[in-house]
Amino acid sequence: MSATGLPPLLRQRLEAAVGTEHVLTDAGSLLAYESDALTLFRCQPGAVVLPADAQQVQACVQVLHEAGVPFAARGAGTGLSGGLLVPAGGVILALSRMNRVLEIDVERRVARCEPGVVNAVLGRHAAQHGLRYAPDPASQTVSTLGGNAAENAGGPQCFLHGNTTQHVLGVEVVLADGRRETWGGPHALSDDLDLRGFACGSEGSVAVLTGLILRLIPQPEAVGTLFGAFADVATACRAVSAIVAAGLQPLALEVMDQRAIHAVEDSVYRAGLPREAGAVLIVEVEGTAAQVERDAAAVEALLGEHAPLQIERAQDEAHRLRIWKGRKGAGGALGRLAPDSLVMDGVVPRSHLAEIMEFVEEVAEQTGLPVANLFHAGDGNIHPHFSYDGRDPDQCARVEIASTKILLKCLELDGSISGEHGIGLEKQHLMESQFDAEELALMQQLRRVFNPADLLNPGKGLPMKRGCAEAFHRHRHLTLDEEFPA
Amino acid sequence: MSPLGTQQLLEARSAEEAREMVQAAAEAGTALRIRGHASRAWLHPIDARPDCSELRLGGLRGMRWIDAGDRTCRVQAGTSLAELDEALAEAELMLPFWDGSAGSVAGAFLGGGPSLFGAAWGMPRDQVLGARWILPDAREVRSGTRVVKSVAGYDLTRLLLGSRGRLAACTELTLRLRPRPRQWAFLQAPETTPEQRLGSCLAVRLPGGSSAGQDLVLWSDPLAVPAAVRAEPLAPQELEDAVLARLREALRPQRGWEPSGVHADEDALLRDLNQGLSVFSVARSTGWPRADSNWLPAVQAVFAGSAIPFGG
Ligand SMILES: Cc1cc2nc3c(=O)[nH]c(=O)nc-3n(C[C@H](O)[C@H](O)[C@@H](O)COP(=O)(O)OP(=O)(O)OC[C@H]3O[C@@H](n4cnc5c(N)ncnc54)[C@H](O)[C@@H]3O)c2cc1C
Ligand SMILES: Cc1cc2nc3c(=O)[nH]c(=O)nc-3n(C[C@H](O)[C@H](O)[C@H](O)COP(=O)(O)OP(=O)(O)OC[C@H]3O[C@@H](n4cnc5c(N)ncnc54)[C@H](O)[C@@H]3O)c2cc1C
Repeated sequence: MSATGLPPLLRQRLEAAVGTEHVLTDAGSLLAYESDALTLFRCQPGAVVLPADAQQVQACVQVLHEAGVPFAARGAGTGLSGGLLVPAGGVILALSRMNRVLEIDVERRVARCEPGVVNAVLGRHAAQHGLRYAPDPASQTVSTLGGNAAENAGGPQCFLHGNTTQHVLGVEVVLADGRRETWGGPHALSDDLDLRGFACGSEGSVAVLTGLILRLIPQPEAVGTLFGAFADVATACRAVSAIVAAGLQPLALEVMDQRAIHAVEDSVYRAGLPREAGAVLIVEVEGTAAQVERDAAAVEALLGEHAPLQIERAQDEAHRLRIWKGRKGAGGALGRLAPDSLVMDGVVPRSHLAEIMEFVEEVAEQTGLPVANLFHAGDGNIHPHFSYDGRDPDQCARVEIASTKILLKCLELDGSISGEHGIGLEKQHLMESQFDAEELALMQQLRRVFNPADLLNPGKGLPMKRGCAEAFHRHRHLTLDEEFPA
Repeated sequence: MSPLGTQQLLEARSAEEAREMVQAAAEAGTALRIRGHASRAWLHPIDARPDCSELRLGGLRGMRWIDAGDRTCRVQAGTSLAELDEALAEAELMLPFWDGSAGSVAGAFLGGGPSLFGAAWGMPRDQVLGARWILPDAREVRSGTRVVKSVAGYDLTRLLLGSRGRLAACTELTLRLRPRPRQWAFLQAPETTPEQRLGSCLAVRLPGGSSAGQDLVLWSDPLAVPAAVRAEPLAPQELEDAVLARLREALRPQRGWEPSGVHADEDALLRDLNQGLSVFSVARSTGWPRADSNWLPAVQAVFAGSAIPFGG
């Protein structure tokens, strides 16, 4: 749908709210905003509107609410669950202009930011005061604080410091009907209904976040980074368990398997990882200098007990960055292996890691498609990365079945179908496997309390009523089969 | 003697019994309020509805399991914090939430108080991975999971935990645990008047935090700031220096706060902590500023279904 799809009066009112140049309806813009980073799901909006501040968001939402037009807030569009598209004729509220860090209160260690601030930008501001913002999704140089809060994003450091929700003290919101409220606040007395917590991870369906009050923590006095290469993934997982069992609390515990290692080494992200290793493990510890010294030595000893092919301990910051380079570049490197990729996201109790990884391998063999693994081992959060060619319907069906099988296995092991990427459109069909009808009904009813007309990011996150899915022009239809064709 | 304004006092010993009691109340049209051990009863008058019967879940006691590998446990809602701590000590784990007082584990999360550990680990409810609940119309639901990370569906756990018992009755909690420090040290802050204590309590608590560095952990409390040290025990002087250095850093922003020294006396610490809590809580019960959300009735209606929502 193009400019003609937006009723003239609606267009006029939106232009009045944000200025003519900030209402985009040209074909190029609409194409750029038709999906998030999971391009399996696309739907061109009727317009993209770029408000400058919370008042303008409010003015737009009031117009859209009155006109009954569906809309969704957008940060950087790096979401990985097909969570950011509106039915044809709907409006995307792109918050990229709301990118100011409004205040860093050093005494209280609190930051006040607009939602379009890029995660790493807040990190740089905080660092000037010896502070940091802990959530560190791999997309942090691009993704926004608003998007991170809406998805309750995680990252390597979340093993120690917790997901985004633990760092959001308060949110300023524009509700689906255009009212403005503040939920929570810098005092975190946690004494009221926790709507702040409810909004985090609600995938943009409870309110538009127009301001964030975030918790900052001090930079650690010291950091120790270790690297171990092992014969296989199972051994790396055992090393992880040993580290945890020893009572150590690393900041991060990250594993990469051999396909991921090779992808990195064959790409511009080359980091000198040992190609012969079946898996590498990165462990980072932080704290006082003395403590880091002790913990790093303890980790080194434990890695040594698992027949390592290689162990390294970062001697300086440059060395540390070299160790992380491969891990940080892995996503990009894997993206180059094939025309399309599906990054899965599932969780199991850490003690079942080796078991689920073995299962992933089995399923990959059945699909005949390459799978690479990068995972947040400390959290039991796996990210099998399937490479395929989206033009081949058979390959598409195979990855989707593989994904379903793996996520159902996560549930069988008492885990979850998403640790950080969210449900979006992608995993709606699996929600009924994780939650029972009563629990889903409660979620639907709560959604109606805050989003009664379902205009705010409609149809994401919870199972949709039959027929609703057709409102979204899908790239193609998702296979709901659970078995591979013979 | 029945508590203030209570029609009837019901004490459940199991989740099933609790559900039956809730069901009977729903059928009879009796309003209920939920308590754990009711150890904070003196705080409740500002909330209490005189026409409510009181359902206590303090009898739902015991640990279901501790998974040391995953550092998680599942515990019945009425288990006392002391019992929980004892069980966790054996596994060399701890819940970073502790006031040394009586009271149930569910009450500790659902009471809505901030945590003495807030500075280090954020809100107490950050340690809750999942829970089981009985709704006012006797439906039973779960929230969350047993894994440390899940973003599937809305975060009902946080919403319910933030409700001070007015949305649902909690029967069981799955918790995230931390390794237990091998050594503890406690810092005694300078003598202050109760008013100063209250003021400092806020000043120290509100800033939201020191790092959650696993070795040296600070509890920002007005009266005593314990620090926990993991790893090999340090020599007393070494420990004192480390703790003092860390404390100075943590309190630097709070003008006028200069730690006076370390005292390693756990009993004295607990006395201080409880005293501090009382000062804080009394101020709260006599008009602590609190704005209940306008959303409460609508959210209560969702959870209560056709029954009367639980009272405060
Ligand atoms: C302002 C304030 C600050 C506090 N700060 C701290 C602190 O820093 N550290 C600390 O350890 N403790 C703190 N507490 C006290 C904490 O609430 C108690 O430690 C708790 O364990 C009391 O347990 P109880 O079973 O006696 O609760 P009760 O007195 O029985 O109930 C307390 C509250 O929790 C609800 N509740 C209790 N059990 C359930 C259940 N099973 N299901 C649903 N709702 C339930 C009740 O409805 C009531 O609102 C604080 C309390 C307040 C009010
Ligand atoms: C290469 C790559 C690596 C990634 N690594 C990680 C990772 O390590 N950990 C992780 O958790 N995720 C990761 N992701 C996924 C993604 O980056 C996160 O979900 C991120 O939080 C999305 O932020 P965004 O600003 O791009 O949000 P968008 O994609 O723009 O939006 C995501 C969702 O949030 C909603 N939303 C956005 N802003 C607001 C707002 N202000 N108010 C209300 N709702 C809003 C949208 O409506 C949508 O539903 C990765 C993605 C890529 C492409």
